Amino acid sequence: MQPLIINEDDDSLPKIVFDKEKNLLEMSGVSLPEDVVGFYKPVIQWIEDYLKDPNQETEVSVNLTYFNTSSSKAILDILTKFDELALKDLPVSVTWHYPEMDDDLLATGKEFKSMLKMPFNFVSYIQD
Amino acid sequence: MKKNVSLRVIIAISVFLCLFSNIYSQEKQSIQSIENLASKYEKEGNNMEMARCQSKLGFLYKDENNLAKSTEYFLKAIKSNEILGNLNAIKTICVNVGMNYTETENYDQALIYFKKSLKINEKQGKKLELVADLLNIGQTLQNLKNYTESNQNLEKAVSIAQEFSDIKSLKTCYATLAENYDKLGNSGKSQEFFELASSIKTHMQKEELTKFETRTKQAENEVSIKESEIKSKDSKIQKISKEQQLTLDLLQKQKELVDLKSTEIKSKEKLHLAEQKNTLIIIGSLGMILFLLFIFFLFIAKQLRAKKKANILLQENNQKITEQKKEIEIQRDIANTQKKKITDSILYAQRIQNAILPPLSSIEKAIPDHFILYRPRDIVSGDFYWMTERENFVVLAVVDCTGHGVPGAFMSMLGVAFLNEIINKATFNRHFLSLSANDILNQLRKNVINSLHQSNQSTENKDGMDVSLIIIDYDKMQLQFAGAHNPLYIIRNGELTQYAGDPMPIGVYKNCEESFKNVVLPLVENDLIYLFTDGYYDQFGGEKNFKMLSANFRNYLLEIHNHSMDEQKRLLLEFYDKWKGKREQIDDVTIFGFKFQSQYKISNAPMYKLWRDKRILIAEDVEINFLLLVEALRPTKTQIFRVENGKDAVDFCTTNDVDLILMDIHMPVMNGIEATKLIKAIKPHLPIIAQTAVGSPQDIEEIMEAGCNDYIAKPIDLKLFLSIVRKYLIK
Repeated sequence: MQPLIINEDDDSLPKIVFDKEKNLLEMSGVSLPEDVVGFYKPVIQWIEDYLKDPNQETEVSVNLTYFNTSSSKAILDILTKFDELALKDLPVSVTWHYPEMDDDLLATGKEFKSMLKMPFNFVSYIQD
Repeated sequence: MKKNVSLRVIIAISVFLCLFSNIYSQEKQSIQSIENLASKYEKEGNNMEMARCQSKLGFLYKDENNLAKSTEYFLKAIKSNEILGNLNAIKTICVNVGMNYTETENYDQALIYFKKSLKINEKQGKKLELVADLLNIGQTLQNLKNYTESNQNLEKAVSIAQEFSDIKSLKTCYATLAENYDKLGNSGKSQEFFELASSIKTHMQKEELTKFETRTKQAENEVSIKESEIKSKDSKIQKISKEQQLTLDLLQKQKELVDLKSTEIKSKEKLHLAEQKNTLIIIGSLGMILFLLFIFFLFIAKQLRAKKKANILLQENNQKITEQKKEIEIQRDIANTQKKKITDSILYAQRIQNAILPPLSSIEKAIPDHFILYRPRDIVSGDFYWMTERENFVVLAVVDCTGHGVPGAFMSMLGVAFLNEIINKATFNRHFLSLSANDILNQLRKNVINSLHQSNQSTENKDGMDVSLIIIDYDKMQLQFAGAHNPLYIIRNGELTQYAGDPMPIGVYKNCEESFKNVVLPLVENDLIYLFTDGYYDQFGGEKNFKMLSANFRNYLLEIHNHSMDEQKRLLLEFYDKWKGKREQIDDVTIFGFKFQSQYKISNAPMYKLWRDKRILIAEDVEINFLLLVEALRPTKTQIFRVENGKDAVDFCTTNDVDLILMDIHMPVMNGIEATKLIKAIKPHLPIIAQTAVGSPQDIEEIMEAGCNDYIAKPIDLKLFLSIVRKYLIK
């Protein structure tokens, strides 16, 4: 399966590395694309393909510092897709990274957790 | 000649083969023969030769991997060399013995011999060689699990290796130290040394790479030199063969000449023929030269033609490029006009969006002491605020729609329309008073989901809004709050209380069947209430380009909450701009802040009740400016009079009662300054407010000196204007 790598030279777009072979599912940076649905469409498509033949263990790493309201819906969609594994009792988890002081980002993560079955691992870091 | 060369080659090869087979057999036989030699020298008492043989045997057995025998001979060699006092040999052999013992894991013995070598080097003062000894000792001690002592030796080795910049040894030292510290449980130190080792490793790899590169280059150079040598040799050979040919020709000609001479007598005619032949040869060679010259010219001509062709091609390319450039410029112009059209259309859209925001006058009436910080990211905004009042209720909402710019603005129009519809329906059905804050949000959500045809299954459309909504009840001194994702802050007695909204938006969501919560709070005089979207504190900036974060926003609000509402707005903007610096605004920003004051009960004490009987004179020559002031004062229902120059203003005041004058400065006949001076001479207590276009300090000074009570800068800020007028009109 081809890895999905989005790494545009644009400060408003997140970096996404979804690589099945390397068992890497990572989103980082900020997300405020002009066309949220269009931007995340290939990502959702990739996950749908991945779900047909997932790895033994799936760990999604979300390391975004900012996403606008429309992106937050898209991110929830992505996590909901991965949650399908949890609903089938397959091992899947999310690691939610947030800057130590950013309670709002942590709250959003907790909100997502409350809506999904898979376990969340909250990891704070100190910005430098 | 050729034969000679091949013969030589054959001889060389056979000699080489002989030598090679000799060496090969020597190796096989050497151990046996050297052992014989050793015992022979021993018998003869030739210590020196015996020692040499013994050490040689040690090495040979080592090569054969017979370590026991190797060590045996090495030990013998040490003894013999000790008799001879040959320290250099002893230390070398000691190291090898140590290595043999290390290989057989006899570390105690290994240590003894490595230390012997160390002692000799110390005695000889050979500092550089000490590094290897210390390293050997360190590694042996590591194998003996004596990590502390190992480290002591290694650290000594490090300091010497540093002195001589022996990076290869340094790397080994660091790596061993890292291992030791790891074993000792000091992971910090271990990491430190590990990093040092790996940095040296990469350094060495780089160096090797450059070495390899230079070697390759050298080799390439050599190859090219050899090639050129071969070429020159080839040409020499050719020259030689030509010379030979020439000699042969000469010989032939001489022979011919002799023949000719012999036949000369025979026939003069024949001689003549020969002469003719010679001329033919000359003519032939001349022809040949001419032919070569001809070919040479042909070649040059061809070159010239190719060059011409290339020039033509270049010209064609240039032309193409200019054409493309033109095309690009045309495209750019199209793009620019399109951009302008789009921008114009959005600018117009902005007017519509601004028009549907609640008019300032009605906000002023319902919540007099307030500020609105509204700063869209783009021209139009996904944020909006909304307010309505019925009897003694004020409903206020601050909304953040998904998206910003045009899509956000579309959503905001929808939001405004729905909020109006919900309130109007409730009013029409006469149950407005029973409407709670969460009811409004529940209905709003239903409307948004229905109108956008959102279903929870489709992932296509998840647009929605985050809302803070409050209902202020002036009668009961009560506040209701409901929030979709967005919170509410109240500052009372210098303490900030945060009321979180529900963790769901207005729009389709996992839990969109649940009702929003309704929070009811009693209000106290001078409570400070803030509704806002996340755009303010989500802004990236500061020294390290971090998010501002809501905690910092709360802290700043607490810091400035004692200032007036207008001042708070100014400070909040200043704080935001300073944080943002030159970075882009990340989202739309809206903050609605107000101070709760029960005296502004809408039905009992309408805001502008006291204004109604007042008379204001406007001295203004420009029609549009006058109309703007009239428009600004319309909700106050004051009586307005107008004059168009300073002289008329003075006349009007002397014959009429006026409560306040709004004085333009630059007017025909008599300017505002002169008029103010004259009016103040007659009626010193009549408040006069100057209006100035440019607020230069000099102008202001002149205005205040003339006797004006205050001034307002044009274009006027409506709220500021009304507050200044109120200050002088209603005492």
